[in-house]
Amino acid sequence: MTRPSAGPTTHRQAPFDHRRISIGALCTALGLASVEVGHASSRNGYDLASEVYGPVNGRTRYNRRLTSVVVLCTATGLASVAVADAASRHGYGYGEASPFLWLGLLLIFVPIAVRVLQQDTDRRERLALVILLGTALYAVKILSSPYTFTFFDEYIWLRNTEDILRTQHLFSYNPLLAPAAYYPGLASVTAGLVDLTGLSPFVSGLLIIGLARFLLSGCFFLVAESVTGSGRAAAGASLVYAANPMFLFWSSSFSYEDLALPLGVFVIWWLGLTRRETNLPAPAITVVAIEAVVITHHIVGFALAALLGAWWLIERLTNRPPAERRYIGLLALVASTTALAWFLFVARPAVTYLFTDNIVPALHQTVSLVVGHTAPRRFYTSGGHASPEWQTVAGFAAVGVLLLALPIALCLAWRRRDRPSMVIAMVVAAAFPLSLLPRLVPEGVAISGRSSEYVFLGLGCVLGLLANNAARPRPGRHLRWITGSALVRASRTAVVTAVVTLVFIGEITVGTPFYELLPESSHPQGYPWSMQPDVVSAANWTREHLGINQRFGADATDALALAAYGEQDPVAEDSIWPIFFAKVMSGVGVRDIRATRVRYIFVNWQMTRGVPPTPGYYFSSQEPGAGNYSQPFPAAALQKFTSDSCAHLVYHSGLIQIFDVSRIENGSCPLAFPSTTPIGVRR
Amino acid sequence: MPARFPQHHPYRGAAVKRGCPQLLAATCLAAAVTVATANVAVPMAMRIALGALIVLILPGFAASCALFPQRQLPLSEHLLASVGMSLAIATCAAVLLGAMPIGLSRASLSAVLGAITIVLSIYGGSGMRFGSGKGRSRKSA
Repeated sequence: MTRPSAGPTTHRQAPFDHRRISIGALCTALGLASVEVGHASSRNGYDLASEVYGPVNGRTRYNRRLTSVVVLCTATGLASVAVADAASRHGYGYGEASPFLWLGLLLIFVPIAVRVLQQDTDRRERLALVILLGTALYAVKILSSPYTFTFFDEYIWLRNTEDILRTQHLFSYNPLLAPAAYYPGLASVTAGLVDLTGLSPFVSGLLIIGLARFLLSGCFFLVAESVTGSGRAAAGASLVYAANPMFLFWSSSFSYEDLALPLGVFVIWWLGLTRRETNLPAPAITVVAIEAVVITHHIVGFALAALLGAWWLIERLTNRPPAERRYIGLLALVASTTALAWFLFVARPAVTYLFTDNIVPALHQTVSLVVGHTAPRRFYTSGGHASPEWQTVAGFAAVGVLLLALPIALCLAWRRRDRPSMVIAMVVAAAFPLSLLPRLVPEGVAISGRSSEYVFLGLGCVLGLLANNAARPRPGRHLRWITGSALVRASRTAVVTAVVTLVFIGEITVGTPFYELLPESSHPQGYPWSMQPDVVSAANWTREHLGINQRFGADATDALALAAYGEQDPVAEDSIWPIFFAKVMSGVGVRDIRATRVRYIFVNWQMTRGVPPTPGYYFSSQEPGAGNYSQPFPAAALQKFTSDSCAHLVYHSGLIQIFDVSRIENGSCPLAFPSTTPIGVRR
Repeated sequence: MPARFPQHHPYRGAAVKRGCPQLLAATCLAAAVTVATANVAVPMAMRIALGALIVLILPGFAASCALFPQRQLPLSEHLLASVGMSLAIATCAAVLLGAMPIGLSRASLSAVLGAITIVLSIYGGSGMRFGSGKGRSRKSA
């Protein structure tokens, strides 16, 4: 047994970090720049809004003073979120820290919502504020994890990026998610940025996803504007989209979908803008952008192809000019053939991943629920935690409001069915109630949540129309002085803002467990849900002292650190849990170590201090007690590694131990083989 | 003669101004400097600035200028187009290089992105110089 002389640092207290400051400054600068862009284009004399849509009662104007107030509120909101994050890291409970978070989110969302929904707001101001909202909400995610990635998917892409940086080539084996290596768009461009700038993969990833968020916010506003024909409806659409349950955290993560989706929305906007251009760069750039989507994410690639195909079909049915129609049809063909060819011939593991591992189980459980064979899962409870009651109410209220508003919005949109884009938006929006069904079963939560990123694109457009209609004063024949008064206009805007804010707050609680809204304490009492510094230090130690690509057995959270920071190959989670659950290191344990060719066992004693949070298991959803834990992992099951003479302790720091079990794996250590059964976990 | 957007175009009739050839020349220069300094020790701040620009802004900016040589787009949308096209071009270029024997490295990526930026800048510059010849639109039936 050797204890590393220079043991890993377990700095619990976050040090002052200039990188954090620079990221914060960058986000603020991005937001301010977006506002300044609006000012600049205003100064340059472009009056495109009035050219295209006409002024609203001739009174639209870019109000610098109000914009500055909104920017100030946004900055204050971010400061409040930062206070909440700091309090949570220092061990304050959710009840004490979360009021600052919600206050901050309201300070970010409400002033922007009020301003963009007002009647006299200039189009450029709306665009700038919508971009500000998107980037500010992205900054909320950065403030939550300013030093390292936090979400599961982020470690998958970090591993991909590290592999490309090391080998300079694609398609290296990714032990966390094999299909991820076959969609190398995000990892490649991040590796390229790391190469060219010398920045870390973390900062490069933040920059790329930040710019993707900027792109998504701006392009979706412009697409919604051309779909609805109104700047205010587009602003409403952007607010509704920002309220989708994944927007705040999931869509801000360093993950392939979060680059592909903005690029997909960019393609739609760009195509609408340039479809009549015949000079060489226009179609070439559109094809390049489509290919960038295809090689970055499977679902977005297929969704883009389907959308372009639907666009072509509707234009064909509505007798649009043949030349423009053909162009759209050609691009739909390019998108669909390349997406399908990449999926079937290059990214072959993705077929199993998508269908066998995700879609089929979710559909199977959903159908089982519909026919009454399965009971619906309990909402707002996970890992032994129950959400605060008001959050449960807000979540149900948000979904209820959306379901109630949808039919009315669809009726309004039906009047504009002469626009092909509006027809597509209506079809996508109508899928919203269906997308909620899988959420009722455990296997469908992920699919339901992720589908919201697409469904809300259409839902936003039709609800944006409704918001525009509701906020617009209707001067009657009589009492015009009352209905058209500033007070009535303001009250209509206030009501619409209140409803959109309710949806925004409620959907946040739908999309993220309450305890993951704030960063984890630097001294977690139970089993942590996020990566801890001592685990990262241990993972780095393995890379330096054991070499890369060693086969490790570890729990699900620590496997992420080993793969991303240690560049090790953790064994698949479904194969590893029997080794940990075995009572003694013989029989089942030895057989599984040999079968999985595990050379090292990573033991985190923190497992014995608390039950696992969402999704409710330590290793795999197949393990005994998964999803139903009420007691922590039994210490006796981990004790067997310490007491076994064939397992050699090579690292020990705090609650982390690493055992070398290569002698068991290669059969050079004689062991007794008494039969054993996995330890049952008390429920 | 300034380019005109065709009938039904969202920006038809919008104010059209002469593009900014100085900015395009600076783009071209920045791309050339990035390529030239790919394997040379330069201050970190300069490397970060040049690297971030060549991946995230410049190729798209040059492409946007090539497509709209007369400055028809508002600045905000010009910026969106620049970022979107740059991300798309950089993603495709990085994946292509990674899939080829040459590999994805600082030198190879800077050479490809620099070349694309310079070619598009020259194309865009010629559009500014010679007017609306490239701004033709599809005929509507």
